[in-house]
Amino acid sequence: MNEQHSEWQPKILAFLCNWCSYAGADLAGVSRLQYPPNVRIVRVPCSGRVNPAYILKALQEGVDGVLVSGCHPGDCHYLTGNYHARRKFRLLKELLDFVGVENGRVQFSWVSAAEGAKFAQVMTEVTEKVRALGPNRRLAKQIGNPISK
Amino acid sequence: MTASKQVDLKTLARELLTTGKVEVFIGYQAATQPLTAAPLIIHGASSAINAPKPVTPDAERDLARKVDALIFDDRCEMNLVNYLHKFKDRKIAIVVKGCDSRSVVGLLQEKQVDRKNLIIIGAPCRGVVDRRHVTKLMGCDVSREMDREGEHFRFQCAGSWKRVKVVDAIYTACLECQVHNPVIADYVIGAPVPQPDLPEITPEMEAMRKASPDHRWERFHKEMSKCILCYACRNLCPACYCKTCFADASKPKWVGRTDDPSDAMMFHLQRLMHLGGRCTGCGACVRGCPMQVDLRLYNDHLRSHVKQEYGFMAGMDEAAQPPLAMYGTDDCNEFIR
Repeated sequence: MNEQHSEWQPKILAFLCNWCSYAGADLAGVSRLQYPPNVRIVRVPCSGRVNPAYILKALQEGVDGVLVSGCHPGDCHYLTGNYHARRKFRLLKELLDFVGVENGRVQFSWVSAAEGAKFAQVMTEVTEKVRALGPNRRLAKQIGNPISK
Repeated sequence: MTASKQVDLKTLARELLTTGKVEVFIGYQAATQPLTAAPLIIHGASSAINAPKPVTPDAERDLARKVDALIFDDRCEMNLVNYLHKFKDRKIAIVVKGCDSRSVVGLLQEKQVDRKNLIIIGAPCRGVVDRRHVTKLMGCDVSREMDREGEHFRFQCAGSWKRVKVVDAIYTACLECQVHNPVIADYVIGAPVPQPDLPEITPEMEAMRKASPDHRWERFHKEMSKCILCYACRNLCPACYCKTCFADASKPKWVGRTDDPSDAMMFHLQRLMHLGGRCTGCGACVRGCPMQVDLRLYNDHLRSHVKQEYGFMAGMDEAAQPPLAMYGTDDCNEFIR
């Protein structure tokens, strides 16, 4: 299946922390809140677990957008994981912006377990932003990729 | 900086090695090509390599010959701090320029070397000659060593002497250097060098930051397309000391081995993240790159970001904590929804 026959749909990868954001996503589901179906979720124990390399590799593999979501500052289940994540991702964002990866491909959020509605909203906004940016071509690997042009 | 004494390099080396104060002396010697220097590692009488053989007249002559080969001048571009890992528990003396001394402080911060085992010989430096650039400028191979007179170098090229301004002949990293004088040293060889006032951010960096994302991407893609993944940058970097580098891992495979620029991007973006807040800007990576990929641009950006956000400069203060190993409860939150 190549892009000429079907309309392109953004592919979003979301790393959600088990204790807050994943639970928030679950709440959105249980509450039957609608949001675009373009996200694939990876559950991690903490947003601090997310190695920046995961985000970079995802972009290389052709994912169009990445979201990392964790507990609000001060509420981390492991006390300080999200603080470390915040510094790390600040650095990553600086780097990605500087090399020219489009603003909005990689996003971060704090979503608590009670914020089902916020999760649905964040997912909608991220998906629409990535849809507007178009398919990820910049970091994606072309060699050996059957979907590449 | 602890009080350090002004000494002569060869006298000091001879004394340290023959008295057994150090087992290994790491310095520079002239290399085979003009305008280049190579590392010189001298094992003293007490070094494990030489023990338990008795000290013979031959060995003494050998040592004297090696000590005589020691140099320090504008050719000494290598960052010798890379060798500290090889001699971890031995007593070492090492010659360091200003930039290299920051690498030593970096290793001390990360508890990779023991200060007790280290004798640091600081060498104030006015900049190192960029051989490739000089060759291009003059249009021919430099056939003899150079002299330095004030603001100029004299090189011999195709039989005649040519003058080149120092600012045109030395590396960009040296022009932007903020530490001509070592930040840490037990001894100092040579007179202190005046430190010029430099802008916080270079004009090139300012232009790049103001440029559009498309323009920045074009530049990044152009640089990464040159990269052949030889890993010289990583091998030369004193901050890259992992026994198994992520780039060599196969499970998971972080860096592919094709010539798609995307693989080079994966390597460099990840390595840049690993160097965030640790890179001192010594320029060894750029000097060693056979394809002249402009790595400094990206390291500089992260370095100035870390300085702005956390007020931290890598390798200046042994007691300081690297910012990416810590967190703040009121760090910037604006980029997170």
